Amino acid sequence: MAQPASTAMGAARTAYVSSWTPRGAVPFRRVFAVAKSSRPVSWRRPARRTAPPPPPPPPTIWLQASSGTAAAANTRSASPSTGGRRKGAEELERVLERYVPTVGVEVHVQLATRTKAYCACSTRLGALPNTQVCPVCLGHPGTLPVLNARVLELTVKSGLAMHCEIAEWTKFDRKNYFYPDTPKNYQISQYDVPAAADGWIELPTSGKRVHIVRAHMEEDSAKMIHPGEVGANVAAATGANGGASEFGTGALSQSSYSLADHNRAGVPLVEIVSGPDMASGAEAVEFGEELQRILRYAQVSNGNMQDGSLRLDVNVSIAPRATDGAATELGTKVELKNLNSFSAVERAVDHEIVRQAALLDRGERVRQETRLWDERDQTTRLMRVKEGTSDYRYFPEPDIPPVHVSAEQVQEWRAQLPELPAEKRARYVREYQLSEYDARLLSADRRGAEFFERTVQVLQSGGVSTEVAALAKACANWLTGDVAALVKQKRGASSAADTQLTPESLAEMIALIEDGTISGKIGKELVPHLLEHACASVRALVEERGLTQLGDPAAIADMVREVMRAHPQNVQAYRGGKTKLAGFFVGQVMKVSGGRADPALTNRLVTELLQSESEPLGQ
Amino acid sequence: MSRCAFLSLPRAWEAARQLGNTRSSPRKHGVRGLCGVQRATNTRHSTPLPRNHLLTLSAHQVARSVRSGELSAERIATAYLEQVAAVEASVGAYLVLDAEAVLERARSLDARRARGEKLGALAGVPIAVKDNLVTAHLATTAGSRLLSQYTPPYHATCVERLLRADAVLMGKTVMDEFGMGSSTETCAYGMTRNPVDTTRTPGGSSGGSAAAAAAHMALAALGSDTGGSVRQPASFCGVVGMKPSYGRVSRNGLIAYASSLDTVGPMGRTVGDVALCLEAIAGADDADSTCLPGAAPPFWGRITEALAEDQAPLRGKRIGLWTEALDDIQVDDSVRATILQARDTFTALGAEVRPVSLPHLAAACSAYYILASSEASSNLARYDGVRYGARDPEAANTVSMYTSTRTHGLGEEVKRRVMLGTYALSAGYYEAYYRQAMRVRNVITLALRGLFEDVDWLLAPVAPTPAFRLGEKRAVDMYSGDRMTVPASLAGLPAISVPGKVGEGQLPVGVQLIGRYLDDEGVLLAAAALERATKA
Ligand SMILES: [Zn+2]
Repeated sequence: MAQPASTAMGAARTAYVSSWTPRGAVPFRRVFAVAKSSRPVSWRRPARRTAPPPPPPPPTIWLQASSGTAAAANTRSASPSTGGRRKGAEELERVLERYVPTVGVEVHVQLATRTKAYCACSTRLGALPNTQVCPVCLGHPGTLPVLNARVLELTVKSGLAMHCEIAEWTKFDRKNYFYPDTPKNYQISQYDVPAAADGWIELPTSGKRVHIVRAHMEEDSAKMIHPGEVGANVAAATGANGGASEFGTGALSQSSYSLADHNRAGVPLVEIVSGPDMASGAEAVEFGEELQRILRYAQVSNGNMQDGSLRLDVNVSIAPRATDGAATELGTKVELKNLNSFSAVERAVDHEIVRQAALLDRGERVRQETRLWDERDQTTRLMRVKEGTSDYRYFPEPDIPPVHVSAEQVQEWRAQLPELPAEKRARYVREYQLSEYDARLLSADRRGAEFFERTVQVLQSGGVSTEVAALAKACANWLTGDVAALVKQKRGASSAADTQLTPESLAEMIALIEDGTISGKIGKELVPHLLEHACASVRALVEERGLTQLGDPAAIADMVREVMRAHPQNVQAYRGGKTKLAGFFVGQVMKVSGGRADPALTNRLVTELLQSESEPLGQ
Repeated sequence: MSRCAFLSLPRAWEAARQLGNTRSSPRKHGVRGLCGVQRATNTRHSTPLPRNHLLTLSAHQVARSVRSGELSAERIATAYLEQVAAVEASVGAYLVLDAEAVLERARSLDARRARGEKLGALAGVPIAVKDNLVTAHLATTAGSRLLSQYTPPYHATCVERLLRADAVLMGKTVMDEFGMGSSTETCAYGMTRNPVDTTRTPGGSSGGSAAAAAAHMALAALGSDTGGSVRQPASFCGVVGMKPSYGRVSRNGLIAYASSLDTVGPMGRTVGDVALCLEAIAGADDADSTCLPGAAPPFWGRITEALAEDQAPLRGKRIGLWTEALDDIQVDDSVRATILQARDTFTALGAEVRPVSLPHLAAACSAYYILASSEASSNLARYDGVRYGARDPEAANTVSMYTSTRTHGLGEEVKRRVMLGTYALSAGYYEAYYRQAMRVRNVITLALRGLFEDVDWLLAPVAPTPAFRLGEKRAVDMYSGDRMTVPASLAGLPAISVPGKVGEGQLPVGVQLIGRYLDDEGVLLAAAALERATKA
């Protein structure tokens, strides 16, 4: 898969990744020499010879890296919590009889800004490596960070959406550690005064509140690629914020060289830390999904896990269950990383609970460590053992003055927040008398929810004289039924709002069914068409196609007679007591009418005529 | 409104890129060495005074003449380059000097003038720049081996502003590695000698800039002052050096040593030249959030006006004389005499000089070294060989590459401070060192703020001694020599070193004036008044 651009990129990369430039490469220019002696240019000890630069990497590495994310995008996996029982579920149940798991989540969320946190580079995904960089995000000498105001805004908004307290004064701190994906070898983060703290998120099914300890601003690191290494994807996915920040062995990988794509370096993140309030993989997933919804509603982030905009790390510990069912004491915490989907989160957590239980059952100790989820083998692998806490030598970032967030500013940002998923769900149940289940489905996506509400609103204002609850139920049925099924098959669509269907046309169609102009069956046939084609008037469409419902008793009676004539044996059988055959005749009439016959009328007439011995006339 | 007023988006580096397009090829070249210089003896080896009268013109005079066409920028540049050729070998102020580029630049200014363009406030003024200010077309090393092959992709804001004012960039000057030192002896490429006495240090870390200005190898120079790095070499070389209020000049493009203390400061032979340079480089910068908002005041015009109008511009002003600094038994007699002489001059100028005691400042030096080293340990972490600069190409893995690159790339003094700072920030020591030093910093800031409710300026020595001999002091022994300059640094106050009156044949001694936060103009005015009275 050779692409012309890849060769150029190889060269551009070399400028930053392999900075060892042989001296001969610098174009010579005559310089006015005042003194005779020249200064040493290289500090290298003379005994060593300058080695040639590392071989240029095969250009395809870049294609692999970018196509990997492209392919992964938009493949929406079904929520594992709604899936069936898995292998190992019984084992987990047996463990849970004896142990209480404690699960906490740390989430890194990429904020939906156009530019990076501390420089003006673009945050667009999918660009060729090292094309969205500048001296600031490459950590060049003399550069200074300047905070992107949107980063603060989106962080505060995420805090507000999670019911957090917003700090009036907040500040930045440096988190110091050496890692090649960190251009300055420190990360500008927030330590003791996070922008937001002490909030909660309510889990939709149980109503359980998960504490939000804090939400703070920080910057992403570069993306490391270790070509040729087994499991290169895992290594690439675990940077400073998804992963590794200390060295185990001194070698980054088994590769002879590593590449760093700095397009991601300096991209703004908010790190959200939950309390240790969950007890299973399913709960961790529910927390993650609700958080994802909140962030998407608030337009703080696109929240896509596949492209790394939402990264969940999970801490799991277990403790023996006491007789009263509570945990006896807190166990040793193990951190799980490389969880690239909600399904991975659930499996990894449950797998870890079972693994820890097995250790304790054998009388062994759980080590404080970080483990990576291996999607292929459905297991976790040891990444590093944590010995004590890392010393990041935090201190106040001297390059960014403390930031004041006024109450008025917070108010303004709060006012810009939409109704959030939890509020919406509650209102749907209250106002529309929907079931909790329907309310959850309809509010899963902000634009989908707005579609639903608008449809109900159009129906109401259209003078359809049914009460709101009934209208809402009708809308809900269509949206969670036929429409949802079709949307699911459509690439890149997450709700009816992503199709050609409009609230107006859906409302019109529902109204046409309500007033008997078309049958529900015709409605079902119309939906696929309306999803694909813009439609100004559904009425015009059904009339043009002759899809209006037949309500003329004489015409339908004629059709019934026609069917009776065509199936005399069945008429006989019916009259001989097999009254269930009425359904057959109704079906045949529908077929003959092209689905347009009024079903209730057809039912009535079929029964009447079959029971009348004189029918069909003219036999 | 979705943006807060106090925040601004970073300036795109468009400007830097445009400049980069036209940049000449980087070619670092040593322009000086120790050859031709006698071994240090007790005899004084001072560099010859300039014979060309063009070298005695002030920055304002040069700019005015070049703007009017009375003098060509090329003539000025040639005169300065000839002086460089005459004395650089014995002084060694420059790390990089591309004479062709200097002349090219001067000619282009003359051509623009000939086309009828109006040139800027520093038209044709040859200015040297300390090597920790990045220049897109000139190699920048900050005096470190680690950056021996580094050419920055952009211009520092202050350099860009000098160029926008049509100054001529002479070259990059020698400095202590990353600004860590007080003698230029920690520079990886060799030290600078004091033009007044080449057996002595020019001071540091802006020693190259001070020496270049003093030896007329540049009309003025930019230095940087973290704990006294502009003021002390100015004092040692007998020139004027100003540390502006923290944030007065953008730090964008200043290779960071200690970010909360670093300032860019101009150096020159007169207060007027320094004022004109400061005016050109000061003012708000979107690329530095710690830079003060607003445009730079017209320093030069205001002090010139104030002095022209009033023969006693300091009448009614109050000056505090820092008694502990003067009573310090380690203070050299010539320093004490110079300061007392300045006191008398100020009194004669109509100011009221009163002794003030500032006992809290005794802790300033310790606090300074902890804070500066702590910040440095983090600021210098980026020099790891991964993205730019020198790298050990033979290292087997990342950690050994880091280790080797930093072991060989960084000098002893830098490594000492990085380790000191790393220690001070470590868990378990943070409270006792970093936090405690921050408290001291606050105490000193408050003490000085209180002082300036009663006085307009604080009069103090710059350093306990005049220039000491090269090789005379070990690096750590120099730390305490900063005790008179670091208080203004910790408190972010404007401070200046202006040559005081010394006896015939004596080494230069600077007089330090520290002013109220943001009162850079006042400091320049007091210094200009003292300068006029001293020279008279
Ligand atoms: Zn950037």
